[in-house]
Amino acid sequence: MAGSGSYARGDQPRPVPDKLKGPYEEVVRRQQAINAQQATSEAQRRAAAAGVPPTLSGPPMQGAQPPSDRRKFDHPGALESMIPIWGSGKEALADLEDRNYSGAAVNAALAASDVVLAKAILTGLAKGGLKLAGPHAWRTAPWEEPGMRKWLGQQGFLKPGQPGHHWLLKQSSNAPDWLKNQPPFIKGTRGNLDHGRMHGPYTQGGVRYPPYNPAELLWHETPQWAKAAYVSSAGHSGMAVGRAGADETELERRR
Amino acid sequence: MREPDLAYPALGFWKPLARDGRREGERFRGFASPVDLHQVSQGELARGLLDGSEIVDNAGRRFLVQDVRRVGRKTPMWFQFLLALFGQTDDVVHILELDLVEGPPITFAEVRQRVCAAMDRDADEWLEAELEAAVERGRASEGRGPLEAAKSAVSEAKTVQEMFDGMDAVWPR
Repeated sequence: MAGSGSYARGDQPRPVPDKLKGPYEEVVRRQQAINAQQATSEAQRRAAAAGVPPTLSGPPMQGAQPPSDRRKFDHPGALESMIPIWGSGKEALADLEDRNYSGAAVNAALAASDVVLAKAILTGLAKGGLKLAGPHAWRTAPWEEPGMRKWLGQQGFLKPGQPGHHWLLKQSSNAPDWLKNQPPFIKGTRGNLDHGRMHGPYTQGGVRYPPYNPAELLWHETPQWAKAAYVSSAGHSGMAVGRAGADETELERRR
Repeated sequence: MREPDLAYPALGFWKPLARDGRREGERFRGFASPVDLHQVSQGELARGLLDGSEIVDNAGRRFLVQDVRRVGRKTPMWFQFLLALFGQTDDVVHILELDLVEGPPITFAEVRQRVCAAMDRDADEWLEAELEAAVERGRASEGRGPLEAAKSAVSEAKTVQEMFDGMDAVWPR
């Protein structure tokens, strides 16, 4: 066993004056003060952010949001935000409460697209939905059993004389009649010229009209319900991803 | 049941029943086989397809429909339930028995004239079909080409079969 190295003192320790004790204690005191200041600052930041996680349209305005216990509308969770109308509507109200007006506008537009989609589905169902029994041929001759075009007219999907455009499954495609001639895949056009330009160049009254370009075609041939579905699905997916991230951050904080 | 042997294809003249209960102008329907004549949807029966109609067979004989009886359904029960669920019971197909009596003789000239008159009543359908076909061609049609061609084919036909063949040939597809 190693001793203190002093035979004369019988291996007993000897006192040594600590010249650095004062400066050392000063450094410790200063560091503790800094730590305390940082802890206070972090606590204040967390308190301010509590219940107001980032939204689809960006973080809310700093200091504008009311404390979580005084909120009228909470932001929806990731799953809740996927519910059409409810999720986006609730998010819009919460954004409005946070005075995040651009976010509220985006979410209100998303809720409106949900309404358009829901209305289209309900209206389609009210008109008979899909034609279950045949014949499903698009247009039969007047002396034959009525085909799909006549049924679509009788049910109110198309007006008398209104050309119906096969916007998704083309009429020339190999898709069966019972599928491609169903109401969701038929877009009522504005007229023969409109319909003709969806298919290519069209001559009417001696004037040759060019076909729609891809952007025009997408706009003109896509039915309202499909446009609303595009917006709705993209918006809700984006919102759910944003909410999932916000929920994860919230969990991290609680740990 | 009184049903003579008909020579097919046959042609039925009928007056569709409008929503207000009145009868519209005369139309005609083709029956390519006995199945076509004896299996008819509920919606077409409700519109009066066979009720009091006249049938001219390929031999040029005229028959009057005295009575129509529903003796069964071709549509399976489960499918009827599905149709009812979606409010599409008009598509339920009934199996029919008909009482037909031979009526006074009819000249084929009269048949041709009545068919042409019925085609004129459906001129809109001809025009719409033609405009749809024009979309594929890329050029709007001028006038009533196919309808006039069909009437011309009808006026040259000597049997019901020739009449339908002539109309089929010019029907825009």
